[in-house]
Amino acid sequence: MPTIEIRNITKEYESEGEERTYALQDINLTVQDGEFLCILGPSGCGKSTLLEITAGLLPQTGGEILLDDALQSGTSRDIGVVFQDSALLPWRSIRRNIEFGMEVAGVGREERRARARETIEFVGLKGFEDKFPHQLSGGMRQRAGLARTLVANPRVILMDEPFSAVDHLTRLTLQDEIVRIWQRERKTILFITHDVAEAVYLASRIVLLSPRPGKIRKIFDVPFERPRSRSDAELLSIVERIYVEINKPASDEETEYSI
Amino acid sequence: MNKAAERHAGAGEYTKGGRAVAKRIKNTGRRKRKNPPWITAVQIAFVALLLLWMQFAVQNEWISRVFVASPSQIVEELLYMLNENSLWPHLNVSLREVALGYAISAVGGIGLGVVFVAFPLTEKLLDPLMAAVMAVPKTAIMPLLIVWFGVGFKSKVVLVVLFCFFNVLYNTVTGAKQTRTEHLKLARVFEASRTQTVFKVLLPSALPSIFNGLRVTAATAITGVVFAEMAAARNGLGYLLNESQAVLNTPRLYLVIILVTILSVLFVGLVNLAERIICRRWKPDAAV
Repeated sequence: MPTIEIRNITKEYESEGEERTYALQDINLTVQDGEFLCILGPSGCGKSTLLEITAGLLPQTGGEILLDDALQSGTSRDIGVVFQDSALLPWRSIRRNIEFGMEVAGVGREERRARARETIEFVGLKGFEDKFPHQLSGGMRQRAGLARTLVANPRVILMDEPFSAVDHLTRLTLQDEIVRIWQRERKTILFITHDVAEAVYLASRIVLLSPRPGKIRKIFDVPFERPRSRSDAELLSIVERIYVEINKPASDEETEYSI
Repeated sequence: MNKAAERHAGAGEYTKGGRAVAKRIKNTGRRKRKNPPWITAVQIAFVALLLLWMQFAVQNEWISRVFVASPSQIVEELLYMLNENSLWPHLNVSLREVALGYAISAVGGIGLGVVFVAFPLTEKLLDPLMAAVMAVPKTAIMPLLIVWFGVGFKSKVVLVVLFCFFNVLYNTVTGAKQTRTEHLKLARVFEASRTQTVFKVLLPSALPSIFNGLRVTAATAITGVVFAEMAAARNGLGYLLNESQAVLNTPRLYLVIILVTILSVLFVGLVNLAERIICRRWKPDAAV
């Protein structure tokens, strides 16, 4: 069953005196219920734009987004977003940061506390709930950001390069963590990254975007059970195939220009 | 000019540059590095020498008593005035004028700032008017204020408000405009209402900037009240300065100047204390 349908999404920017530039051109994508989908692409290919349009944070120029077969306009509490740099509010403790969404939605104090406590434990932040964001490491802040989204219990979670700001080793731990969370919660996840190995390790399907204009270049299936091994030969071969695809010129037309 | 440009940018735009500058100012303003003890010793010695020189210069009439008062004269004057109870009434009046004017500026400035931030259209509408009033050198309005409100309490309070209000207002507005885009997106993702966004995201983001405004304004309020009382008054510290000057009571002039300085420093300290209590546990500018 599809959870999210992205239909003919186009985003163009008009700049004065110049031709229109397409950030995204005619993107069509169906994300199945409970799927872990990675959107992979170099910087500037419009993947963050696509995420923001899906989240309802940015208006599209054309096309439509459907959530559970219903046309979306604007944001929805069924769609959660995990931001690139956690975007915790520095004046709130970790617990109060995690409660933010529930607070805004008018969830009662008791229930807020209880749900926050459970999620804090789940993401491994127990003992840090009264700390403030600046007192935590980057990895822990990202866990808190994740908890803030999880606790609001959205149907879909959009993640915008959530681990790009943390060091490599923390990143690996967080990847395992996200797989564990996905397995338990069975959320539909749309995960944006520019890291090929990360995409292959996490996703059930990888959408490769090419830049200028942002278009879907190819979709790769990663049909392996989890937990996966990073050194698994089959995974590595997919990584290889993706690299080949990225380095291959997009079309004959483009070849002429690049020579 | 930069500030004006920022204001004209409207509430939809959020500048990063302003934030970086604010951070730099903050870092230099606070947490001074400890000096080695000999530097402190030299500084104290310098002040002590100056005071000693004043003492002897006046005592031995190396310099006219009209120009300089010796420390002992100043202390004597203080004791005399305390004894006569001729200091407290003036101090009391000035303090009340400052307190009321400052309170109105703080509450009104932050309040109108919130309205501007919540309803950007109101800012657009009122901006030229505000800019015009702000552009008038406030001291030039004093005679008019006296015509309107008399030489008493009211005209002083109004001048303090004119001195302070806009500063607090624009620090609130520019502070809110420096809110991080991610934080605004966060509010939208969770579908926060306008009120919730203002009070849970924009205002807390503006808090460091608001406190900067309140800090600067604290010293300005004292300046304003002294000036207003010097222009026309029947009491207050500014009046006391005028009166002392008229009768060439130099020690009293020195005394009041010192008193006003202490008040100003104390007042700024009080604002700093309030900021530390309110923002005790979070670093406003920590990169998160």
